[in-house]
Amino acid sequence: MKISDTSATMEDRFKALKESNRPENRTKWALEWKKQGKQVMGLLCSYVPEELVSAAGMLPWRITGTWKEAAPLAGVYRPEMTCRYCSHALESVLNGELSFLDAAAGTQLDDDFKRLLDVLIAIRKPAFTYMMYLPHASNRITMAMWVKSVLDLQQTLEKLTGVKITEKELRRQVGIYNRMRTLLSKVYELRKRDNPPITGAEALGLTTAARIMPREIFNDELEELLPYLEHREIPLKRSRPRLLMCGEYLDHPGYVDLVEKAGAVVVMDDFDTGSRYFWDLVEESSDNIIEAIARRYLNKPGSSRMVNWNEQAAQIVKWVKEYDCDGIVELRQLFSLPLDYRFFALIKKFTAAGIPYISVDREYHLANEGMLRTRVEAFIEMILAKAK
Amino acid sequence: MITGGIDIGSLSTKALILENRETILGWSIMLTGPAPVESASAVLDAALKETNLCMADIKYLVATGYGRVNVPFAQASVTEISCHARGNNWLFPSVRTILDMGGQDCKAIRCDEKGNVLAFAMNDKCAAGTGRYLERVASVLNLDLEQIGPLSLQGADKHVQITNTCVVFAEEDIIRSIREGHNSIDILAGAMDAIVDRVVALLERVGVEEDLCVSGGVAKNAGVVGRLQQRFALKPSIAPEPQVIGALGAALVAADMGELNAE
Repeated sequence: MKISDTSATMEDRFKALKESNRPENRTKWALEWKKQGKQVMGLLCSYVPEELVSAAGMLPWRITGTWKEAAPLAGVYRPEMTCRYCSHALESVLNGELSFLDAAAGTQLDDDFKRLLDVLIAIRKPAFTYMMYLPHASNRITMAMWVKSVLDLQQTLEKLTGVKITEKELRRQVGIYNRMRTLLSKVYELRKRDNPPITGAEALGLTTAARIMPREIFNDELEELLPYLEHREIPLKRSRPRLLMCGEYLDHPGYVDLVEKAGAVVVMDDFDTGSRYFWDLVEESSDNIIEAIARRYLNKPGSSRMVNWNEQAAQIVKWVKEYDCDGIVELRQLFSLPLDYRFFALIKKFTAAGIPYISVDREYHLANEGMLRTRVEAFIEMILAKAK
Repeated sequence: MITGGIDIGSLSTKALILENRETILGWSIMLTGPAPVESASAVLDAALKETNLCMADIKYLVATGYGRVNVPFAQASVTEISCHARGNNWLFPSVRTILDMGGQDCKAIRCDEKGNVLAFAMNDKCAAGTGRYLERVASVLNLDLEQIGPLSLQGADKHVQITNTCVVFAEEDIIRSIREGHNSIDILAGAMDAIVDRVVALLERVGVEEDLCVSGGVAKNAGVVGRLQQRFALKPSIAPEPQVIGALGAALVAADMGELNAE
């Protein structure tokens, strides 16, 4: 199955690809996959090694919560002031948007995710839900525990699907995923240009598309589009300020678009739904492919729930330099405590590095745009005044 | 050069006319109402009336406030955060920390000697620390808005503790205190303490540097200003008309634009 017909222009094909995770397109690839008699596993966390899910013949499909404003059904199971992504993900399960899922998997990313997985397990929607163990740090001891967790996932998947995950198939999948990561890295490399050929919102469209499509189809399409993107030009009102955006569970490109419409050029991100999804490769030449997969997932740029906040800040500062950014905008999801605590650590580091930084609360679904725009515009005005 | 600034706030719309970035020729304040564009036009007409000038005399006009994008006759829009910093800096050049308390939002701003914003913090999605809170407090205690500032300073040391700054929950707290038999002034003093706690936390987020000034409609409330003075042990500067500082800042930005285009 092709993404769009072959007579479509490259711009049309790019549009189709980057809009794959919009609500009206989101389930297309999963339903197509199921038509072939294969299963789909919904994923709630970027730490679940997708290569294993694919090697078991399932389509790993990142769960986007409902983008609708209210989550009334989830309110039966979850207090209002808890992780909004978790509530909206639960809502999409309860309202039937995700009834096609055969299984779901996540990690105990934080208490919010644990309780979400508990609910899914209790109500048996989807029919099977699996919670992986994920350490809070990466060191010799925790790595051994994580490898064990990855092996447990392998056994669970084999039992669930009846498919034996062979080393040969796993290595083939690692090749596919590494190709996807390399292609997305090439797209991000283009964002270093003075006049980037894609917007930040488009980049988020691509990374969220990658997580719901059969990866080989995504790879083929992106590979064909790359030469076009290299020469694509988008009109910019001004080339500065260039910003890096931070956040977790941000999958609505409307939020990035909002920052860009406020007058900034968003050239890099620290999203689990963006750069952190594809950053770093699995070492394909490793003798022990399971350990190589485990290493890649635990060692990739950390998330707010991991203890290595200094490393995370250092990674972001490095990106700010590499991508020639003038500041950092964090759109911090409401009621997500790890992000709230990390803020105090980040602000110290960014202030010390002389990088302007703003962190503003946001909902999971696109809301309060006027309020957010005022704060982001003021931040941009502040950067521009400083540059004068 | 004549420039103008329009500040469309959530409750009131303000316009100010400035000459050569030196002399304020006139200003006007009106309720925003449901039609911000019409309000902007009316408030500008009212400000012009004081000056014997007409719309065509205004070389540059800049809009600010939450309705800034809705002013078709403005050449540019700038956020109220930048405008309040500029406006207060023009009036009080030594000021480095600004607290603007408007109808539905509250912002703490730190600026440099030119009035450029260095840091800012705003209340999020909640009317705590704003004029709306004071309106509700006055209403539930059956007092006039103008009365509550001076009255709140008369309370004895036994202020009733109002722990909630959320407008809705504070109202419940106040009603409970009335039922418990506390007198209105002690309740009012407690409600004022709560709002000031809230804005002090906001100010601490940007760091308080001397001098401090307060603008926005709430700056007219002696109870809030008196408490701030006590907390920081310094007297905040307040403009003769603190509600038009955003519009003044917008008129100054308009003057910048005029000078830039003349070069």
